[in-house]
Amino acid sequence: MLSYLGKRLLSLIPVLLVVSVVIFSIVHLTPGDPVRTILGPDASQAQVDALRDSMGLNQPLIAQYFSWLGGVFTGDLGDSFFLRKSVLAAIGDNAVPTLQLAVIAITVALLLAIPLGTLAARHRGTSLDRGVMAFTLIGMAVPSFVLGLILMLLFAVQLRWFPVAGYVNPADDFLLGIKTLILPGIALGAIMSALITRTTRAAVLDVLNADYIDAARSRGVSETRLLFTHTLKNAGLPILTLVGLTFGTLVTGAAVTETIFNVPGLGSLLVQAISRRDYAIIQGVVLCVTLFYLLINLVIDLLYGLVDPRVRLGKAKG
Amino acid sequence: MSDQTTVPNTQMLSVRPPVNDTLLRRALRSPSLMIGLVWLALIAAVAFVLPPVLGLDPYAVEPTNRLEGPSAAHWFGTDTYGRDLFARILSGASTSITVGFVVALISAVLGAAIGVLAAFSPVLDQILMRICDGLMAIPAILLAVALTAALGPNVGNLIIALSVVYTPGLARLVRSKAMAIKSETFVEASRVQGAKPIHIMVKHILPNTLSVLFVQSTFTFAESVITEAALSFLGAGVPAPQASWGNILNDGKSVIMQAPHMVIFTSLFLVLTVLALNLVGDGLRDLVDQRSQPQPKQPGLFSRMFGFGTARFQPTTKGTKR
Repeated sequence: MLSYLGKRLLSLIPVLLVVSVVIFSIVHLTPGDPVRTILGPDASQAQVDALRDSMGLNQPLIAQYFSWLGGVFTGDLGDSFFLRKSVLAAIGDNAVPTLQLAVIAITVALLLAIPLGTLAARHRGTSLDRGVMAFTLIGMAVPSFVLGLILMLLFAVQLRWFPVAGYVNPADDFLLGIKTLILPGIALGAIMSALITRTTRAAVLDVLNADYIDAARSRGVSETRLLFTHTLKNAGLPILTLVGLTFGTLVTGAAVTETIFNVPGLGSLLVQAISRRDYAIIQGVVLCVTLFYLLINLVIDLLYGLVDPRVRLGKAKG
Repeated sequence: MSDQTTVPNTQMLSVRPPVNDTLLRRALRSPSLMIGLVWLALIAAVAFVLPPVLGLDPYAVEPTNRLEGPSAAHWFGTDTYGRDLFARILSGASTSITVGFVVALISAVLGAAIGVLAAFSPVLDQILMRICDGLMAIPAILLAVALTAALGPNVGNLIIALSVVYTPGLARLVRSKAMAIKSETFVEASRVQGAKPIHIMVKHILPNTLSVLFVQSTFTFAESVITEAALSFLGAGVPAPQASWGNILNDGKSVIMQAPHMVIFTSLFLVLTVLALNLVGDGLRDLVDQRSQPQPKQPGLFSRMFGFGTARFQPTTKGTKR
């Protein structure tokens, strides 16, 4: 188990190296001078040169890359000149709303997807099933930011149930905080749920056709027990995989959704950083999000063993 | 041994669909494919044909008629600058469809080339697939935003950025399919007969990967339309005076209180277009799946020949010895 974990962690390194090269080259081959953006149009050439020097921008690109990479390994992602704080601190501040949003979105998605998918599978071929499938088809065609705008229009502008935009940390004021996060959370979660519903339906159908379900039913196991302990437990694996995979979509979708609802998360941090050419922030955020995404998928792989004891990790090649 | 001449009935061994069931006929019977195609054709026709015929100008400004609701003169109302929203949305449709189509085409061609090459050369495979892994690890919109920000916002750069985002996925798909086909007997036979690798790649492997590639490109088309809208919404895509669904939605968001029609009509077009593309993709996938894979529900050839009964065919998976 430990050696498996070690191997998996080691295999992340080449991927992360490629990611770091890609991010670094994108950011540094960008036309546009960050120093001019910081100092404004009135700065003298001497001021510009001095700042360029202190930011290390006069060094060759390769040297800049390695000094950045060296910093990454020691946990130093550099400093943001605009925010006047370290990149790590900026990411830490902005990660909280994004994570809260992600938790709400996943909760919404699972609360919608698992009952709907299970119902559709149990009533296969009925109008209920067709209705659920139509919902998933539409869900997959609606981008989360469009749903966000429509929800905003309906519940914030017309019905005035929720604030139009803004963010309050639920840790400070729980009710108001949830109120500010619920619309973006639903926007992200409902879209996620479309795919999860389909997978749940397929997985449950698969299990319902298995012989051990018939066997259990013939032994007189109640339908409820059959559903929870026999069916859903066995259908859990593909659902879990998908939740891990959609986590990436969630963070990406959040970039736009956060901007719509003015939630100060990682997505809006990145979008602002790009318009300001804040190199350090762009590199740091993309690297952190990617690392987080890869780690989530690793955790999901490890969870397989817990959900399904038949999966023995590290012994895949027997 | 008098009945030696009777030929055994082999009909039940055949798992292929009847011969008269052509691809076209099955396509015509698939409701999702047909609805999707008709709808797409309709949107494309409206987007590319209607503006010149009706003389719609997406840039004509009427400052006295700002943010008006739908009327006879302006079917979908007007926007922040008093421009006709119907003309803007149609112009946005042609932008979105062009961007989506070109991105799907470029990433399909590049993906096919990379995938087939990777399947043939273990060295190239390692290099190319690590690059693909790295690119795929970065969430799509983040990569696209960073790229368009680097290249500068215009339609050409948007197409480049989105192609970089979507090529790795298609390359991986083609590679896995190519690997599977490479181990088939007919490829081996061709190789033994002395066919050059390039001949095998172009004549045997590539044509057999096209069906999956085609299906996946349809979904790439749909995703590019969504990502293009998201980027333009963030201001990193199609630049301002030119219309795109994304930047119309962004304008609409800032006036969502006074003029909700901007958001509603534009969303409707965006969603219906993506829905149509997904329907076409689903329909195509069903067509391809039926032909390329034997029906999994039917018992296999051996079980029917030797009467293994209705036992499900369970391939012995690796690593389940204990």
